[in-house]
Amino acid sequence: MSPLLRVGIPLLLVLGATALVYAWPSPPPPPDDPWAHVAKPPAHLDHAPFYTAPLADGPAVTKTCLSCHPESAKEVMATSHWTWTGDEVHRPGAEPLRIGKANLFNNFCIAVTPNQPFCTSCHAGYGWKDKDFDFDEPTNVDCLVCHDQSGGYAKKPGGAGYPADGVDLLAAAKSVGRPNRSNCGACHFDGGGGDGVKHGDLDRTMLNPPPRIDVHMGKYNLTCVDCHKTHDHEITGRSMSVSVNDENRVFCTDCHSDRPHGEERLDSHTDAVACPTCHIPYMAVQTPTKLSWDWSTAGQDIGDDLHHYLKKKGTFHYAANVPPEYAWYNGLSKRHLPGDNIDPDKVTELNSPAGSLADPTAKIWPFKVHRGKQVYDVQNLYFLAPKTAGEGGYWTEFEWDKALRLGAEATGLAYSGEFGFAPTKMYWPLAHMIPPAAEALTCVDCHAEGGRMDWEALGYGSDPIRSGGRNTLRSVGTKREAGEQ
Amino acid sequence: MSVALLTLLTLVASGPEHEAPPPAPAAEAARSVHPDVVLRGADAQPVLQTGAPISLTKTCGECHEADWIEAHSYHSAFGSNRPYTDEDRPRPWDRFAGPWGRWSPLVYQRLSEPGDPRPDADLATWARLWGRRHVGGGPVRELAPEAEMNCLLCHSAKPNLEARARTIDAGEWRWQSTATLEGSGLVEATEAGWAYVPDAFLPDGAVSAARLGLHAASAQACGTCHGAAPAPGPTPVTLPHLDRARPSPGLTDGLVYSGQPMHLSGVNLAGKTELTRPWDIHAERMLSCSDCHGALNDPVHGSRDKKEQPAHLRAEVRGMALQDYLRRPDHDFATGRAAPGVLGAQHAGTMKRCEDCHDANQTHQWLPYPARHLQAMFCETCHVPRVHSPLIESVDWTVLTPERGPRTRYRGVTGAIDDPGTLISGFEPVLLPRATDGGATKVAPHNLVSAFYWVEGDPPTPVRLVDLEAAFFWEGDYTPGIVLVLDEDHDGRVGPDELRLDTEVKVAAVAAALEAVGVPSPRAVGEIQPYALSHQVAGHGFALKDCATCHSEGSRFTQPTRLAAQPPAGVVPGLVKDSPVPLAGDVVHEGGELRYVPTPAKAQLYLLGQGGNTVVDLAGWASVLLVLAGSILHGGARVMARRRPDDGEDRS
Repeated sequence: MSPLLRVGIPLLLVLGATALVYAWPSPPPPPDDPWAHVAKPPAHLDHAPFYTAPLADGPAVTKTCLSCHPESAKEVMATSHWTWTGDEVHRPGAEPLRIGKANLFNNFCIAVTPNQPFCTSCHAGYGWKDKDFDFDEPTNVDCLVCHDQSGGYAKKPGGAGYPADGVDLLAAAKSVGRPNRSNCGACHFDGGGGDGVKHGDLDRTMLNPPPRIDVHMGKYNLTCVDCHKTHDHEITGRSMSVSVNDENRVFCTDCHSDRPHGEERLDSHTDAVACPTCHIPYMAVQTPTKLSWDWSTAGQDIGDDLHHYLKKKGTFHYAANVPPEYAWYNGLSKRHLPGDNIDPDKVTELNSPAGSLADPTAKIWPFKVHRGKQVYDVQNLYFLAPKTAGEGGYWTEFEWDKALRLGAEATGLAYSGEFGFAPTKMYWPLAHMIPPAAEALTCVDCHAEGGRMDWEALGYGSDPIRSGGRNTLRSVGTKREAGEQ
Repeated sequence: MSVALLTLLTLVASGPEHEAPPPAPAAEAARSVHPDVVLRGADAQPVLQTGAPISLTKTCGECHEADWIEAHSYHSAFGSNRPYTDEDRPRPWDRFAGPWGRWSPLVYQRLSEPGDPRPDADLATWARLWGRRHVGGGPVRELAPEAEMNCLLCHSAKPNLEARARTIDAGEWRWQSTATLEGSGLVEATEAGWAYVPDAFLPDGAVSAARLGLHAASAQACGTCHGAAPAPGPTPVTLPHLDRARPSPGLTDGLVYSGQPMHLSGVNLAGKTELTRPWDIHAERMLSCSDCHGALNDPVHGSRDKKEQPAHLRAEVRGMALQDYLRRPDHDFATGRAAPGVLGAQHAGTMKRCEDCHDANQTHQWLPYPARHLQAMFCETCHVPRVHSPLIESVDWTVLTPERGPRTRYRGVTGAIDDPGTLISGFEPVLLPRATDGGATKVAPHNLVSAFYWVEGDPPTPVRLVDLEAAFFWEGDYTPGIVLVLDEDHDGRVGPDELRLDTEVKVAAVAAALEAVGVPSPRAVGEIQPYALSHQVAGHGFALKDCATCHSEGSRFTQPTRLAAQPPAGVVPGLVKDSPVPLAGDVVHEGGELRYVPTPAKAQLYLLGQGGNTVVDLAGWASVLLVLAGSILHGGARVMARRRPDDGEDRS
């Protein structure tokens, strides 16, 4: 064979193969790659060498932290985790107002203000025991509550945010790192005074959940801050119970496509149905959550039972693995403010989602709806905030009148001396405890006779599977007009 | 004064005259546009006044033409209006194209003609066998004129089927409609018979439609007889049709119609955690049976019978006026051409097929050669990849179990079908060619049920159950002769595994025993009945998508399927004569089993990657060799030309 052929043939083969490899169509990228949106934080620097001497107290730890992170305290102090209030809210005919956990009422323990040393044990700071707390003092910021990785750090119950007795602050300081589930859960799992009490989708099972409870954490090992992305200590996420606007929210579509199902029929649902509606078929999957709280029965010596009746608190109803309730929600919400008048014969919605069938930005969301019966001023016709915990509080003396007077002193809301109990409702949107996709609701769960959606209440005249969605309504007698608000 | 008045009102309200009526069923709350109903007897008088049995012909007939409806319902006629001719009867003893007069090896007993010298089941016996699954009317009116079509079975919320069956078993057909309402609060069984509960009626003597739960027939109503179609809801699905004593059609064609994901069901399925698909995607997507099998004159869907439609029209939109339809809703429902295709076969092809709703071309572009695939296969071939409920494999009446029944084997289970602990592994369907509405042939998934039984005389008829029992049993036990023949381990009894006629000796011995009880010329025969598998439809996520499933050496197109584990010796069953689908393969005995071995070529199929085709293979090799030869010749010529000495010609 000639030298030309001996060289030429292999060369041609190599060139051909190379051309084939390049010309071969590469597989299209996956249409929905959530991992592309999940941050991959660098390995955390071991802080143990920086802490060598014993630390006297919490502020001493913070002082050491700030020596290397001088801006961090300022960043924290600009967030709602510090102020317990949100952005300024403008109301027609009234002064702008900052509302938040610090100054609103709820239908669990009712209000923070008269009970600060108790409630503020979940504050990301040290020493908020009364109105004199110095919100501008950087060393009051509690770095450990979010960054401790030793697992040994805890705040003292009723201790205004100070560390619990016996906590090894040095060990905690040496351990600091990226917040994990237990850091967030220390407060958010125990909202309302116990495991899973307040939220229908946050409880201690989320520390290490199996996939059937939460696929993101149980199967893919995500942590809270993978979704609640944080910049300069500003954590994304918004609680409808203490705010009314829709900024800084976390969405499924931060990672997932808004057309993720690979099927037109299901994908079309995402225009009107929020992902959690189908993907959170049941709330409080394993640990019961509180669904109602009737304060009016408190104070009786009829025998305490943690899940049904406590003399301190009244009558409860807990349930686990229950279907949520559904309502339109566009991210905004309505809020009953302290001092707003009520009709004690009607249910007062302390908060409620905004949106309707006619609102193209609203979607059907799943909610835990907590029903309460709480104390109000019979003459002034507004809700009152009793002092419950501590000296003179209802939980120690069981005297409503005294508790209400002490509460009125703290809140500044006048108390006429005559009180009663009125029904309330609070909406808690559900976004956690998402099981694997196979457990999601299917058509029949909502559209079959006796399904879980109340189409009439949502403003449809009939099941939209028959009458069409909100963009193609073809039934007679829909409540579309009524839904326009 | 006012206190006195209030007290008086309280007393009146709580007096015995104003006690609340019995609670209505849950359906009371359901919305119904149906007006209140006066329950009437055969004399058209309100039964609340007369105490007579309810006549739905008179009650419903006030607005709907009940007689017309009964005359246009193959569920009522059960084939009695379609007699076979001598040429088309599938078996010599079959008389009508339906359960009335067409023998079924699943039920066995044969409805005898009048004057039959060796009669088997008379009309009353037939009614006890089939009555639970017969809506009434039609031929059973011969038994009792009041044995009317029972509208409540399909159109009331909670028909009491057991109470109705009890009245039928007792021969009390005239009370069957009344009994259906047991549990509604309207009627109650007393020692003196059925009695009406006045307090459950409205003041004017009528009954609210809500209390009856009147509604358009739901999938649950169909599932009552055809398989399992539980109501949607969180209750885990179970399979109540798995009843060995009364084989349901669902045990032949796998009808389980539920939108519940299989892994959430209460059925003990193999690989359950992975079975996240619904039992049937159409149920999940809220279709009801009547969406495909609707009334032929339903104005919502337009005319379904294309026979009366000009060829150039795709659809006839001029449906009946609603009031006419409500007066005469056709109860002959749309049907397909699927096997066995007996009842309602006169309307074959009226059913909505997959392609009537789905545009497969749009959704199957990922598939290589989509047009060829859609041309060769019905959608079910890929979309019913596996049936996850037990199916009957074989019914062997050549022997009798101690319960006086046949030896029945099931597919896809590893134990008794009615034991909740039995693991259900499912069944991969047999693919058989079937004609389309347009006359072409495609393959579709099927179950093959083989049956073995004795026939006698000439023309043949199945040996009567009473004669079989006489030949096999004596005073409650197998006869000594039967034990002698079948007891292989000589323990003095016939165990379940010994109950088979797998040798010529055993066959001859039982034949002799039958002759001894007066059966003329007994001989064992067999037949194969295909059943189309059109339910348990999987969505795209669980449909077959792996090319190798079909295009490989292990192609499911070539996999043998067991027809019977231990068939009677010497019996090779053939297809039932009127089977709408042929076998495309061979029935062979292998390893003591009877198997069906498919051959794709017999279904006019050539499967790339599976097996070979001599012509295609030769053409391929010839192409390779020709290309190689051409290359060598061309290359050789070039080399030769280059080596040739320079002739001095200037080629610049």
